[in-house]
Amino acid sequence: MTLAAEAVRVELGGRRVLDGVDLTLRPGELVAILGANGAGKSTLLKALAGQVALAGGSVTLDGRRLETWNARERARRIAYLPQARHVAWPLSVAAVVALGRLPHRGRFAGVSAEDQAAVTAALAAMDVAALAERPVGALSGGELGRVLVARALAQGTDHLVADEPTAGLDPAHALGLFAHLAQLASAGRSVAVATHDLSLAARYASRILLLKAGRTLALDSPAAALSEARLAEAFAIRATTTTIDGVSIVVPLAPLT
Amino acid sequence: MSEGGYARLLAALAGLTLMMLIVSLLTGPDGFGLPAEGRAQRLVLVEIRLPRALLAALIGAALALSGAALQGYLGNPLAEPGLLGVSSGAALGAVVAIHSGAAAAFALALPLGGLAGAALATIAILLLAGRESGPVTLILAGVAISSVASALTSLALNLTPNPFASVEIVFWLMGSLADRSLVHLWLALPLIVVGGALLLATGPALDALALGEEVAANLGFSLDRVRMLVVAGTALAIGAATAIAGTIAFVGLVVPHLVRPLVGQQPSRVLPASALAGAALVLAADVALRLVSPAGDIKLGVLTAMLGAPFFLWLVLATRRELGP
Repeated sequence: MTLAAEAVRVELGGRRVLDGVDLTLRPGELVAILGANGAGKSTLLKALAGQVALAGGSVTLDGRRLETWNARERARRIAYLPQARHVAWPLSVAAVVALGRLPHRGRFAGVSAEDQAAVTAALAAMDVAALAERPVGALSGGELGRVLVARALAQGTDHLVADEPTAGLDPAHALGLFAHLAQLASAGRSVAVATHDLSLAARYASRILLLKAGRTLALDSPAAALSEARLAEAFAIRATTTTIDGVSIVVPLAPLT
Repeated sequence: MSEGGYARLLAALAGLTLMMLIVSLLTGPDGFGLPAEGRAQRLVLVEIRLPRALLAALIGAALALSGAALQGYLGNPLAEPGLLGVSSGAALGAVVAIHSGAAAAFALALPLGGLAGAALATIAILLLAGRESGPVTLILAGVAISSVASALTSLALNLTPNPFASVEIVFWLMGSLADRSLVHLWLALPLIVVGGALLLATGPALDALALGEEVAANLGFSLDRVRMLVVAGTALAIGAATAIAGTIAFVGLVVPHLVRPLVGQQPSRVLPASALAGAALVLAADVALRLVSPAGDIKLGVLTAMLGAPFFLWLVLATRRELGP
């Protein structure tokens, strides 16, 4: 039940994008991946989902290299939510979320009761049940973002790998999303999420991986990973961390020059 | 859309196709009705009208199915079967058969030349696009092959020594089902059936591709496999259709748009519904043609283009209204 990246190296267009990154996702964990633009967050998530060729190192699921898994079996174990939000046809919200069930369905079989239950639960979890019959073309950016998260949730996998799922979400839904991810983790799943919301990461993540220029800067508890010195090094910002009502908050104050 | 509603739609389209098939069998140069009684009656029905009706259905299904699969694969509503250059290749092969005089010497040289042209175009596309390329490379390769084939077709037309052959080439290019025999049917049937099966097999992958290539890959679909199915299916179905009937415009582009709203936009459902609607549409067009122009001076491809173009114009306006200014 573990998804593990070991000494992962990825080169894109001759440039080394990831260089020797380790990350083991165990059941019950919510790992937030933080870093400046271009630090390698998305590439690491793609590597964890088996969607990028490795120049070195390995990604294993249950101890077996990801490339050796049957694609359909892998699809039942790892859900990947890319950053790009794209739907080619004006499908209904419910139809889009139901696509998450494709790996569980027979090639031309219909939707089973189990599929239907997973879709209904995912729609409810992302607060889009009321939009179920709407065509995706008629949604706002944030609503579409939630619908696509619901697709990944409906896949019902042990591991969820999500690239900036909170981008464009209003504060209530961003909080709700992270609370749901944390809830998934406490139910025994594992979640890796790239985000720029430092406070949500500090509050909900069990561990934080801080990347800089394709290398690991820190892989630690939120309190340790988000120290002012580390934030300065990772993002070139002066930031302060505080606690209000027991909730950790990270506030960027000024860019370092 | 519910599964029951979808099944009813398919049944209705199948019924429509069957009805048009019967109407087509009952249509002759003298309008509706069975051919004149006597020894020739069976001959006319089986040797002339049946192949024409079945070819119309098969070719209509091939065009619309391939258009639907390409639109789904590329996520682009403007994709159509000619995009891969297979039909241009088939047309070139047939034109070479006419130009060289082979078609005059031996009747089947025309469709066989078309099939050879389609096969060469497909090989060229696969070589040009490479084994592991994305949709954009495939489109570019198709456009390149189409251009080369069209240029060579023009050259053949240009160099034709006698005007009769030029007229024959031009008329053939316009697309027609007149005077096709059972031999033509047996030539096209297996290719279109196998090609159609390959295209139908892409259904679930096309659904997943609606969310982009990364999500489709995450859902367990091999993009290389889908691409091979789409290219091979189109090559077989469209190569055979063009080799038999010439270029029949707009069916592959328009029919998927007609059925898409009826099946909740889902690409996998657009496939079978398009195949049935395409069959019914080409059957209807071919019947209308024989009633309007019994002497056969108007070609099928011209009629479908004349019906298809205004419809497409309407579609553009409807889309514009939907999306706002």
